[in-house]
Formats: sequence, structure tokens, C-alpha cells
Amino acid sequence: MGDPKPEKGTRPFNRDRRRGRIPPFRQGQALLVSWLTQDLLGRARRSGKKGTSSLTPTLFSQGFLTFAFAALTYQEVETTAFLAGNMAFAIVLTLIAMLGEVLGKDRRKADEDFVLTSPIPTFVFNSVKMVHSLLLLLLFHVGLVLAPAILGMWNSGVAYVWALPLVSLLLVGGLVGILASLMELIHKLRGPSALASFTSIVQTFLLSGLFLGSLLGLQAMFQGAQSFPGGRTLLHSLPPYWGARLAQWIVDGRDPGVFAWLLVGLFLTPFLIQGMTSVLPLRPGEGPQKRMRIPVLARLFGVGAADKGILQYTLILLGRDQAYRLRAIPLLGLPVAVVLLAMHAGISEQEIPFFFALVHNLPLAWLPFLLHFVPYATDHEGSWLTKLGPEDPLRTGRRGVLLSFAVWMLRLQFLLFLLDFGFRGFGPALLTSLLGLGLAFTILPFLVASIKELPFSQDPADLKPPELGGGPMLLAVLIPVLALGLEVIPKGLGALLCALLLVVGRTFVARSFRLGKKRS
Amino acid sequence: MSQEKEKKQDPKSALRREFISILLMYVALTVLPFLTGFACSGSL
Repeated sequence: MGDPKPEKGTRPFNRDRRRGRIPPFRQGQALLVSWLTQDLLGRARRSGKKGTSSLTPTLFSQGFLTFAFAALTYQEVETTAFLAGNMAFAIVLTLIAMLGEVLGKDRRKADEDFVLTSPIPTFVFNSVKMVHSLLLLLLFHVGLVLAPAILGMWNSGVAYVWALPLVSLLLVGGLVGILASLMELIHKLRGPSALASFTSIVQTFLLSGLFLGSLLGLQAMFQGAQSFPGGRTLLHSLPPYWGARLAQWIVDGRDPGVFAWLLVGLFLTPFLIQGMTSVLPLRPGEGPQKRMRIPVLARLFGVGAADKGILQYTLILLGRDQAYRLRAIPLLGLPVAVVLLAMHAGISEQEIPFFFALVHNLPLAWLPFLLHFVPYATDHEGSWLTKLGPEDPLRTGRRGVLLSFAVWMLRLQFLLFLLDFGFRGFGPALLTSLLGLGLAFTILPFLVASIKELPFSQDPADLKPPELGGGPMLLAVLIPVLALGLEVIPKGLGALLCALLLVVGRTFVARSFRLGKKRS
Repeated sequence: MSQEKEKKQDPKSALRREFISILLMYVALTVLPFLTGFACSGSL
């Protein structure tokens, strides 16, 4: 029995291996294939499924969104507005996807462990990294701009079928370049935790921007730039408008003017930041030691030493966890979006009290959803601390979450009071804020009791969405109705109810899931 | 026997299938706006 016959396609590799080296092209190819496999099939394989991809369904759902957006606008909107609006929509979707998948933290870890320790030449690694990012960007973004490009044919002319994807790809490439180089700079200057904060802030900004921008942008596309908050000046200072002018210059020969120079600046910025990053010395990732203080407001609930510890721990983990921030901040941003939209739409004098009653209670309506995300954390091993504690872990976790959200509700209602004070004056603003607070404190312990898993113990990749029609949904509908109802009762009765709710709520928060209490 | 079959599978075949499904997605995302455009312009 001799050696088995080598399979087709493996001979050159074996020959090179016998000689003790692998050609750079082969190394690059292997790296590219493994990265792409990780990107496209990694999530499914980690959960034990076979052959299901994460990109295809995302591409279809988001491609369908861009199609719907383009279909709404292609018939009656002017060419520049159509191009800019649709490019902006597709670019924001791509940036969100790229930020999460490609420029994410997990990839850095994998690179540090496996790739940087392997004998791959630097130039091969860097070129493959570039090709990989470009390929993913191309695969995703082309899918998103296909529908607007084709519908643009009926809006502006056949030439836009190629001009729109081309300009949009250039623009998104430049923006991803800026983002990636900024991330590199922050990582070098301030360390990984600052990078995580930066990423989540950008992602939040993009998500909220997508929600608000698509609503207001759609209106501006039909009614003109003046109907957009910030008007023509703001819209003209955004890259999608520069891209639209570039596309019109390519196809119709319309002079792009200053916007061409702005685009050149946009493409040069990543190189400039990259240059700065390479010159700067590497600083250690750890910042100065910070002394954490227990919020003064927590004293309202008469917290003991164990409470202080768990409150500090929960506040730190909730504040620092990237996965949580990504889900929670956009949800908290929705009340702000509602206020902005309502201000823009113009509400009458009679509607203002009801409007503020709604705004004060929207955070409470969203609370069940925020609590739903509490068990899921990027550092889901963080729950070991509560598991090792002397108390029942779930009880300890719930106590921490209860106190943290009670403190957050206090802070939030104070901010909303300041906003309300500017519109309605001291008395009505204070009453509505305190009513909202009392209602929140009374309901909060019941909501926290619905947390079935230990806080910060589950992988965010295994997230189970909240049930439709379940408790959280019901509360999200009931709370605004209740808030509107409270606004119609007479002021004297309202003040009495407010005092009662505050006393009951404060007692509930102080006594629920208490630590250090003897139980049978 | 089945193990032997799995061993002989090309490691890139899953990736290839994935690219084909993305390509099909592109086709769907191309046909849909075409149909919409023609239907709304009354040429269909």
C-alpha cells in the first residue's frame, strides 16, 4: 500500500509544504476564505445550525426597505432630492451593518489570537484585510442601492442606473474609511473601552438618525428642503447631497461647485487620520483610576451596604455594556424623537398638557423592553459576581436592577421636568413629573420581578425577542392611556393621588427584593 | 461511510452556495423595482 493519490487541487499546496513555505497568495486566499466564512456563516455555525447565512436575510430585508423608500419617492420627487435621500438611507443602513459586523470588537480579538500569531507577512495581512472589507462593503451596499438605482431610471434617466450605485459606493467607502480610521485613532489614544463607547455612540446616532431622518427626510423630499429642521443649510452640509451633485455632474454635466471639493476632502480625511494615528505614540489602554460614587438619589430608598454594592455593580455594567447600550439608548431616544416630531408638526394649546403627560410616561412604557435586555451582556461572564455572593443570585440581580432603574427614572423625570418647565411653568410641570415618578416607582418592582434570568448572564447572540401581545406590549399600550387619564382629573385630586403614588412607590422600591433579610 | 463523504467535501462549497444565494437576492432586488416601475408607468 503506497501513499494515497493526492486529491485534485491539493498538489501545489503539498509541494510548497514539503519545501517548508506557503506562497503569500495561498496564505491570503486562506485568510480571506476564513474571514468570509466567519462573516457569512459564523453566527449560524456558532449556534449549531448548518448552511444558514446571516447576510442573505439581512440583505433581503434591508434591500426591501430601500426598495420601499425608493418606490415611495421616485415618481414625484426632484432628481437631486431623490438621489440624496435614497443614498442617505442606503448609506446609513450599510454603516450600521459595517460597524456591527466588520469593524466590531470580536474580529479584533480573533485577529489577535489567531492571525497575528501566525507567520503571515504584514503586507499580505493588510492587503487581505482591505480586500475583505471592500468585498463585504460591495456585497452589502450594491444590494441596497439596486432598487433605488433602477427606479431612478423613471425619475431621472437611464444613466443613473450605474451612476447612483457608483457614487453611493464611493461615498460609503469614504465614510467607512473615516469611521475605521477614527476607531483606530481612539483605540490607540484612549484604549479599548473608549473605543467601545465611541462605537455605541455612533451606532446610536445612526439608528436614531435613520428613524428620525427617514421620517423628516421623506417630508423634505416632497415639500422641499425648507421643511427639514435646519433647512437647506443642514441638508447641503451632508455627504449624500454632495454625492447627488456628483452623480448629476457625471450624468447631466451640472456643475457641482464647492461640493466636489467637499467630496475630495471627505476622501482625503481617512488618510489624514491614518497619518496622525501612525505618528502618535501608543498609550496604555487603562485610564486614570476613577472613584465610583453611589448616586445621592439612591439614599431616598434607604439603601444599606449590600444595596450600595449591587447598585454600583449594576450601574457600571449597564452603563458600560456595549450590547445593552446599543439596544437601550435607541429606545430611550424614541421619546426624544416623538418630542421633536411633535414640535415640528406644531401642537395646539389644548393638546400641550396631554402631550407632556405622554412624554413623561413614555420612558415607563418602554421600561419592560429595556428590562428584557438586562440579562444579555457582551461580558456575560460578569454575572459570576452575583452567583458567588451570599444571597440568592437572582434576588440580588433583581435588587440591583430595581435600584438602578429607580435612580435612572428619577434623573430622567428631572430632565423632563426641566423641559416641561420651559413650556408650562413650575406647577403643572412638577405635578406631571411627580405623577410619572410615582407611577414608575409603583410599577417598577412588578416589572423587575418578570426578569427570569440572572442579569448579565446571557450571550446577546442568543437574544429572544419579547413576545408580541405579552406583558411588555400590553403595558406599552396601557401606560400612555393611563397617563392621559391622569391628566384630565382635577388638580387637587391629582396632587393627592401623586402623594399617595409616591409614598406607595417609594415603599415598594425600598422593600422589594431586600438583601440581608432572613427568609424561611 | 457518511463520515468519509463529509471529509471529501470542499471547504469552500458553503461559501460558494452563499454567494449564489446573494446573487439570487440581487436578481430579486432587480426584478422587483423593474416590475414596479413598468407597472406604475402603465407599460405593463
